[in-house]
Amino acid sequence: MTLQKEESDEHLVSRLAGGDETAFTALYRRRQGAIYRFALHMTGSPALADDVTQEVFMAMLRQAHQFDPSRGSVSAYLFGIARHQVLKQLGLRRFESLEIDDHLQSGHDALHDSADDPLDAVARQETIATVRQAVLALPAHYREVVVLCDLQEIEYAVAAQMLGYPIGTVRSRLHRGRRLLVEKLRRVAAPAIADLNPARCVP
Amino acid sequence: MTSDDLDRVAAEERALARSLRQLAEETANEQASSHVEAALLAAFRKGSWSRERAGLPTWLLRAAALLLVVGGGVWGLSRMDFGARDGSAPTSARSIARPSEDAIPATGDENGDEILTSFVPLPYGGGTAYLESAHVVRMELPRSALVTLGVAVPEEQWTERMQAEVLFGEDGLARGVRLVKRGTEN
Repeated sequence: MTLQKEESDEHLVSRLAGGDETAFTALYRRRQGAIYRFALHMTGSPALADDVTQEVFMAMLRQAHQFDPSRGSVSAYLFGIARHQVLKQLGLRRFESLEIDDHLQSGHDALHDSADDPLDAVARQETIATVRQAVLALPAHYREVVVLCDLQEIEYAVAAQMLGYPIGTVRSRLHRGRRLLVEKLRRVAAPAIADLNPARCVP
Repeated sequence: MTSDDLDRVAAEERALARSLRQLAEETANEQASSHVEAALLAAFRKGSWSRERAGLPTWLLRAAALLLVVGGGVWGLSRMDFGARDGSAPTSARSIARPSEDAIPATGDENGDEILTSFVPLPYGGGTAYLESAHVVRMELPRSALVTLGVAVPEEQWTERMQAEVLFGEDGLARGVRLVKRGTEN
């Protein structure tokens, strides 16, 4: 069976529920990146993000015939499973925070970035690493809204559907999460400012 | 809060938004490792995604759930002697090491207006071979239950009812299933 261009997620799910491997492959390739990135930002670990992604699509295979499009989009359905898997993988209950995975901590060589000014590239990488660590340090219920809304640019209403709570809760948690990030980054920046105090010059 | 404070807060939030955007751009192309897709496709082809439930086979779970809902959907419990349906004298179950196609006709045996398929071994069931004795339970199930066996069923037929006979070993585990078709059905 040939895959039609722009076939909807719902139609792919219907076909894969009937055993169509092409449909499953198409759905996986279309949606796995967003699921992986959500898990990566939530866990800080590429390995855990891989595990979560695999579990999400295994769950889709098992439950495809039960998917009801009237209850929400396929994307929201997958993210709902991903959220559950993230919490399960990490054994999180509510307010635990995380340390960044060493693999992400090291990053790649900033001097090979495309920036014209290497110093800009270094500064950018430092900013990214700092923000990544700050996001991971957020409590899980703030982290997930920041990841969905600010990092993956998902609309509040869709995020509310994915997370299973009212849009007002999404807004309030996002606001609180952002404030926590600002405070965290302010504390990170403060020692750097203090380090700038010039030492006495020795003749 | 003074206007300076408000300006400071606004500046911090703009800086944060900029930083988050940089992080999002940095990770925009991150994807799952290739082995994840390979593992999923392997599972899909084996049909092992239908075996992921721990404990009882999926077929048995669905059958049990339907029994609770339908109530009278279970009827006709009978002890099955292999080979009895072909009209020959019943043989001792113990003497039959394997319920071969000869013992259970492959194309089904006509019993009045019914046609029965051969038993399809269930995942986890250990097959239908070497059963010393067995029980057959006739049930009415939705066609969607066939999906768990890896059978492609058009979605519009999922809610249709069908009759099936489930073969249980003496250990109580479901070993196989066969479909019951009325002689007038297509």
